[in-house]
Amino acid sequence: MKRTAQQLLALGLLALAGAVQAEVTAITGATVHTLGPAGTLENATVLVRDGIIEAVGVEVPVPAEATVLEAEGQVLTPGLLAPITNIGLVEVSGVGSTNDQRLKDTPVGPAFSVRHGVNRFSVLFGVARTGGVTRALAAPEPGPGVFAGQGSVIRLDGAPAPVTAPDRVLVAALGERGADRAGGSRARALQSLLQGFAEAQRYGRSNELSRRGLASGLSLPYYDLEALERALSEKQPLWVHVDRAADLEALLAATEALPLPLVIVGGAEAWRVAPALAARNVPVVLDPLGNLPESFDRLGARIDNATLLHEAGVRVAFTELVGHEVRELRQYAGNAVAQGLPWEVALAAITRVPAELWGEGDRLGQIAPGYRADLVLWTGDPLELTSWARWTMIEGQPFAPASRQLQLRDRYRNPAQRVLPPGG
Amino acid sequence: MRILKPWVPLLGAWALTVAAEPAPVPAYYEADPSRAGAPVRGEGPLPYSSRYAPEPSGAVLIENATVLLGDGTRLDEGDVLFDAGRIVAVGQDLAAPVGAAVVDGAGRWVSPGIIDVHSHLGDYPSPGVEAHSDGNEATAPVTARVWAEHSVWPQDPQFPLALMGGVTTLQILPGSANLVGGRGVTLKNVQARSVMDMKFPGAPHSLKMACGENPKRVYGRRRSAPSTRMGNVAGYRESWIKARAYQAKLDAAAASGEDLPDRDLEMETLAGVLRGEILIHNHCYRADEMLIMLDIAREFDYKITAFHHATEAYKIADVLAEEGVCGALWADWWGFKMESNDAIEENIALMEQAGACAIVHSDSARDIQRLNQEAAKALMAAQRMGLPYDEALAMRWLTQNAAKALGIADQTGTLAPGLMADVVLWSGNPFSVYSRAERVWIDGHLHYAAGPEGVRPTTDFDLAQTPAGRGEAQQ
Repeated sequence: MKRTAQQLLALGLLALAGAVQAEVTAITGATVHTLGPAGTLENATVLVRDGIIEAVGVEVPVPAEATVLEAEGQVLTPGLLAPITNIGLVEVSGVGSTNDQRLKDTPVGPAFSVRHGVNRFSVLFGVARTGGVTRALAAPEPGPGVFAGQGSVIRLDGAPAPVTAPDRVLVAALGERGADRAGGSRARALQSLLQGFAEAQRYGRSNELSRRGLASGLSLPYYDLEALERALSEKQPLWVHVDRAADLEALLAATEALPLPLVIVGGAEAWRVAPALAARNVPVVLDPLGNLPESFDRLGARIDNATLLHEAGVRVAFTELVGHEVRELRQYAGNAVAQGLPWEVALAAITRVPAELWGEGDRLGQIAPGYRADLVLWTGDPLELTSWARWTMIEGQPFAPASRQLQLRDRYRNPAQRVLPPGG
Repeated sequence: MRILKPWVPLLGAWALTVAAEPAPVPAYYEADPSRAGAPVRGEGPLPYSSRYAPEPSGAVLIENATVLLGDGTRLDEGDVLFDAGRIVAVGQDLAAPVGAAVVDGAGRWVSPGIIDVHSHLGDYPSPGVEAHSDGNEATAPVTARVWAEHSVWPQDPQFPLALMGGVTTLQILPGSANLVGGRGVTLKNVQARSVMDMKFPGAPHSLKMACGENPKRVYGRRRSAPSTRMGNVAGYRESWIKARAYQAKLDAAAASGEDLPDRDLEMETLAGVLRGEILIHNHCYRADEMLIMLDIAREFDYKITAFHHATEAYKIADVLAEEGVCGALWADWWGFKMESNDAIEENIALMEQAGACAIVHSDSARDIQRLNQEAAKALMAAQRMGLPYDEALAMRWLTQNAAKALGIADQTGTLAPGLMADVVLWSGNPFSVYSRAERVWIDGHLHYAAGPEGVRPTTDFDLAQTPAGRGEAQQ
């Protein structure tokens, strides 16, 4: 069965879940940015079998049974990954009843896991896929305390069991955000964080009997202590929202003995402490457009933060915390390039690096044998805003551009018609 | 640009009189900002009128660039000549006047200065602390009496960042907490000690109105009116009824020579709208609400100049085209509240397709730095659905159409000879994510130039607090 992408699009097959998921799909004639050791390949073929990439190269034979998606020289990248966001947890930001990302008065901190709240029928998924985004870390927003809770990796194809890596990272907040949640002082925010881990260590060393007595004298309930204990024993990555250089320095100094790998989220002033971050191998998940001195934590914000961090040897990924906006990630990458970041590094910051930071670097974020077949075919340079995704593939299933937004567009294509057409 | 209504001759006669010899005038008229620049009793300009004075400028010739004129046209390998603050010519092989600065435009693109019709810079400056929150007089649902310019902090460090994105002119509006939020003001994006030194000369005032969720939420939570959309509409109508009555008193006084009614700041603004002097800029998302606002405008005989945000403009693009109402729009913001839930990426494209006036606006200190990229997204959405739009057309969304909505299209917004030399030199195609504004001229004066030897405005706030690389990579 040999069909081009256009034919499939014309037949409407790409949008039908399962209908096209042949065992074997070959994408031919693409410029492939593998994000792996193979680099960029011209006129290459990517062979996908049962949702996994089997082969990538310029001389890959196409099996007779393969469904062929002819790329016609267009650009193939791994699916874009949103490193930390709220997609699947929030439907309409201003409507509180649709927001499952944060707790208000409930005193659950490190143990708060959003994995049971992910809505795979969210209309945001189609919008994200149409923009080339295939997976995300659905993460809690800091609630009443400095620990926000557990973030989980999710897939955006709408398939059952959207959580593919539950409770993969532990999220916390320091600085101004943390201070608000710790009595009003940045200093106390960091103290609370350290105290949580210290208590978890004590709690972990205690036997069942003494735990009961101990718990009454601790600041966190048993479920939070157990979550922190697990974080310590499994060396769970600790992702900390923090912007101010002074707070970054304090965090680095105070956590030297902590066995968890640190990841900085935000890091508006991270460029100021780039050597220290590089020395500790602490990556920064940042917003490359965040150059406004919009708070006293961010007076040092600058537009070339990513470039300076990269040059100092710090790994960078790019983030959009708002799920509706994850399609903007490629704009962020493009702007980082305009401010001096190498193009390949910028693309990696929205593909390979997020996968690595999630601990999924061996299966996501690259176009290489053994990796999940999450692929996007772009009409041109994926970082250019005038390019768009021809199709987005998740685990071998291709999706044509399709979303509630595109249905609205088509409903109002002819604005003068008085009677609205039936819905899609 | 100004719409003269029957009562205006009185004011016109006054203006002529005082031009010859300062004479006593009724206090009511002194405060009318639409007479910006006219002298009053004694020395100096009318209170609150523009004191903007262009910086000195000489002749500049940009050679051999791709020129987007802002009116939908494009000239390849074109030259742009400006002198004494005004555009002189756009063409090919223009001769450089003696003493002109010649700029190599090879590989570069030129456009008019970008105009943002929806900004809160200065009213919501950075850092966004409570002490700086000056954009919403959310103490009553109708505050036509307040003027956004009286909140503008000229040292807001966001102004220079917008300039580095090519923004030369911007309208500062009050926020959207109120049904009637107050007067907006159009500014030149220059460094100044007072907002009056930034005020765009001759630009009409605007009036910010807001539909939908914001006013009814702000006041409904206080258990005061309005708390519903029908409450919103009653609030607008009651205000216009009062304004009509006030205007009738003015007309009667003018006809009979009797005393003018007591001054009333609220009424002065609303009556200014009814007279066509003040332009309505109406925050309104939903199509059905915009249609109701058009009904209100018909009931009270005023014009709505532009709907702002208007995430559902595409649903009524034909009506907006017919009524001559602009849509000041985002490229793709959506889903942050119910009334923005039907936003689509093709909003601007479908407005254009209907022949309506489409504008890309920011409402954001972040996006104002990259309005060219927002337009690029709108262009992508158009091309994805097969519409034959190009860069030359898309530039209108950022310049000419915006100037039209601000009532300044006869002064800026295109590169037509005689207009203000508000010009941006881009490092490449401005709809490429990799392009940056390299130089920005306002009235022919170079206000921003990239690079180590560049010209970079700095606010008081920036000193010793913000880094050099805030707007441009420092290599």
